[in-house]
Amino acid sequence: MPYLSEIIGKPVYDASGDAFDRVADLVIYHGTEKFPKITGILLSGDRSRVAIIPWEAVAEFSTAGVRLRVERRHLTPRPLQPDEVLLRDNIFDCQVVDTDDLKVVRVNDIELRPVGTELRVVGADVGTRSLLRRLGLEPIVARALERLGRPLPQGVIPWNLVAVLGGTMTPLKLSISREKLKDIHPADLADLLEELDRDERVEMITALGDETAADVLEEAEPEVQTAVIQELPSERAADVLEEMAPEEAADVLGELPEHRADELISLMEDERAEEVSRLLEYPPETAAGKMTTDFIALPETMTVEQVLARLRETKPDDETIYYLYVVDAQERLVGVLSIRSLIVSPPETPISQVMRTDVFYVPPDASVEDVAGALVKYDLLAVPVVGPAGRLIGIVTVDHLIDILVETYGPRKLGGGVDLLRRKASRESATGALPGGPSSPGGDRPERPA
Amino acid sequence: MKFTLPILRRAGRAAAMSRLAMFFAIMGPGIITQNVDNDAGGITTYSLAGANFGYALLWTMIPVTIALYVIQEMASRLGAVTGKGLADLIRERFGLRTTVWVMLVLLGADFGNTLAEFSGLAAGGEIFGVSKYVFVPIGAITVWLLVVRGTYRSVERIFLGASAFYVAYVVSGILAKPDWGVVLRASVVPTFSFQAAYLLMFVGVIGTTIAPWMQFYLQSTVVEKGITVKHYGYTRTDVFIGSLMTDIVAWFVIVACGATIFAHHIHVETVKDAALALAPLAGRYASALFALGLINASLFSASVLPLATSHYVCEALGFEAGVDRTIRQAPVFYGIYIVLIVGACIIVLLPNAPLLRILFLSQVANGVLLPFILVFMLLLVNQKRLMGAYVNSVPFNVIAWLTTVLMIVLTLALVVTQIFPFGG
Repeated sequence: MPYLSEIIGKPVYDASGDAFDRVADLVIYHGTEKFPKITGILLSGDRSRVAIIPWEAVAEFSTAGVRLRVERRHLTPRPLQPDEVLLRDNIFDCQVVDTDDLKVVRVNDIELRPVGTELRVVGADVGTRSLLRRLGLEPIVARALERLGRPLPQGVIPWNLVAVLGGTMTPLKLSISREKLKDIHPADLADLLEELDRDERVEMITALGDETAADVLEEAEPEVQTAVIQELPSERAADVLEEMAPEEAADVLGELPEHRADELISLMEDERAEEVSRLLEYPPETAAGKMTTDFIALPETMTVEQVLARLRETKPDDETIYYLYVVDAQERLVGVLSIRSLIVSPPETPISQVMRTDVFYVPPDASVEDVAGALVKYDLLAVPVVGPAGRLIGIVTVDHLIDILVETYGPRKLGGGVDLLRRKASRESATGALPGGPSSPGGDRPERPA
Repeated sequence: MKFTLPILRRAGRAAAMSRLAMFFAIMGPGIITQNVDNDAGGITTYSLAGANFGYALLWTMIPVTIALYVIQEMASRLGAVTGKGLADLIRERFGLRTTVWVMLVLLGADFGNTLAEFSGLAAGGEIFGVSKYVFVPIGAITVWLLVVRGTYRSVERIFLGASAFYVAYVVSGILAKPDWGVVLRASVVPTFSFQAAYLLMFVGVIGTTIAPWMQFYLQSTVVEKGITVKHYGYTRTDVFIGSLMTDIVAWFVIVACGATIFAHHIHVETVKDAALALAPLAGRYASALFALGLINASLFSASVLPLATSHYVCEALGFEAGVDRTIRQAPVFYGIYIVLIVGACIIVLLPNAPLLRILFLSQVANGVLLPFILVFMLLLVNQKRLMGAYVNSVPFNVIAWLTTVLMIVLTLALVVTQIFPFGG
């Protein structure tokens, strides 16, 4: 099974048997195929790196070298196409995303497999074995470890689970990246985002839809959020910010240079822009700075039935549905309604009769620690923020607060032991889909502890 | 209908103020790197230079500052334009084999540097009469907690604060009451001697100011801060201020020791001797400040260096890295980090450790590595494919290549003089 590292620098013979040049790079068409085929060869003699020898000109291929069908003077090189990728230049030694293990890895080698007359890329080798192979130490170390009874594991990721980010973004490339990333949970994507280089981050966010991109950014570290928003084109950055929760968007905008923040806000739709600007006026480390303005406020004159109808109609998020705040005509907080009381009360009851009136709330300038304390002490999922004259201006949810507290007190990543069922499934389907039948390169990858 | 925005919470500053605010937001990488540079090894070299040669090496500070700035500017520009660290770029452009060698030598050199930091810590403690068996482990634990428990922002703030602490040396220099006229003349008028000891010190001063790890560190902090070419102008200022600060501190250390120890013909061999010798000559405060400065410098650099080193090695070779990982997730990363810190600690505490020999070997490793790093940087920074419009200009290239060649000659000279000691 040839590896890219075994082919680079090997001689190229023409039909007359003359070794006239060496392999500098292999070209793949970065299309929708799971295991892309090699479409051409770049020769070392081509200093300008533009003339590709089409793969059709190849008669025979092995790790000893490449023999062409035609004589040297009959070769018809062609230019590199926009959706073609140079394996050595753009992928070898670079970072890619293992979309199965959800890790950013560095490609030590690329595994190829002849299928008929074609040569296809079947996997990215990221293991220690490939590191050693390229240093010329593989046989020695492998033998030594085998003697110790601990054979050197392969570390090949099947190519269909590899996402190559960065480089030129063509529409096709973006759609492929989107396809590869679409099943990954936004929180995992956020972790990946943090690992990536700048250009790769921009490609990931560009490839995702506005809504997913917003979800991913919300989960990312503040430094990463601002870096990505800074890099995106203004229109797109504004679109993503619009999709983010207003308080998250405000946090990001607050970290940006003023002129950039102003520019982005002016590009957002008016209603969102106003909301975010208002949030930006509050100091960041207070209840008002951390609150969300996505909450449910019901007029006290409504009945239980009306409320239920309204909820069915507006389909609020799961974060906000647990507490239904009741306000009077002046938007002053007068009570809180639980889902339980809604369900158990007769439909025509006015909600002012079933709501609780002893509501815990915090003032806008309460410190984040005080808010956290209140949530913990009274076992609440959210606490309302009440402004001057008793007006309800927002809520701080436990969800958001946990993010803040983890950021402040615990730098260590949580949730490392969590595994999604989906990952197992995708590996099984991957191995079955490899060209060349059941003996797949993914098969000898070591089992991972569940 | 035009929608006007309410004033942002950070708005309301005059234009000049907002530019200043922008600078403070971006500031950091350059100044921090340069101050890590004034580590225990640096302070030792500068104080011995002042104590044994008076003001004879003061003039080197101006050319060293220029060279330092030129090199660091390239590192930060590489980071800002490519968004990648130096180790990554070397791996992607020069291949795995080269990377492995560079990383191995860097590991060796930085182990030596870490060792220097902990021996600086030991010396600093002993000046105050605290046993190194107490002081060094406490220092190591402090470093561990700071790095593993702190967040990026809090650590950066602590580091910037620690940078201010270098004022201790400026105060010591002033307390030493030098003859300012003589000092200033010596700073601009080059003097040279072909005495072997002088040459060695000359090379030492330059070698300790410009080290390989700095380029890796600066470039990745620039990347980590998300600085792009748009704001690169501020970073350039940051790097310039940093270079200036480093050499001002170095200058004051030389002045402090030159005005006192050298003037009274006291022979000193270690930085501890120098600090103790300061007490009767420049007063207890000067001596105490000097020692505090040394402890600060050692802790500061010990926090940065080993961590940064294991980061580059892991990133370049594709192992998981970062203090937000657990040891199980990133075993190589923590392995290297622990070996660097614990190993250095143990060697410093060994009763008869060949400390000087190891420090010398690390100097050699630094010296051997630096020319390669500089050449890699120059090749990278001149690649149009990578840098686009931000490749070096011709005059800049001339200065940079001259600096590189000079550094190569000087570090080679250092290595040769260390291997074949001649004269005194």
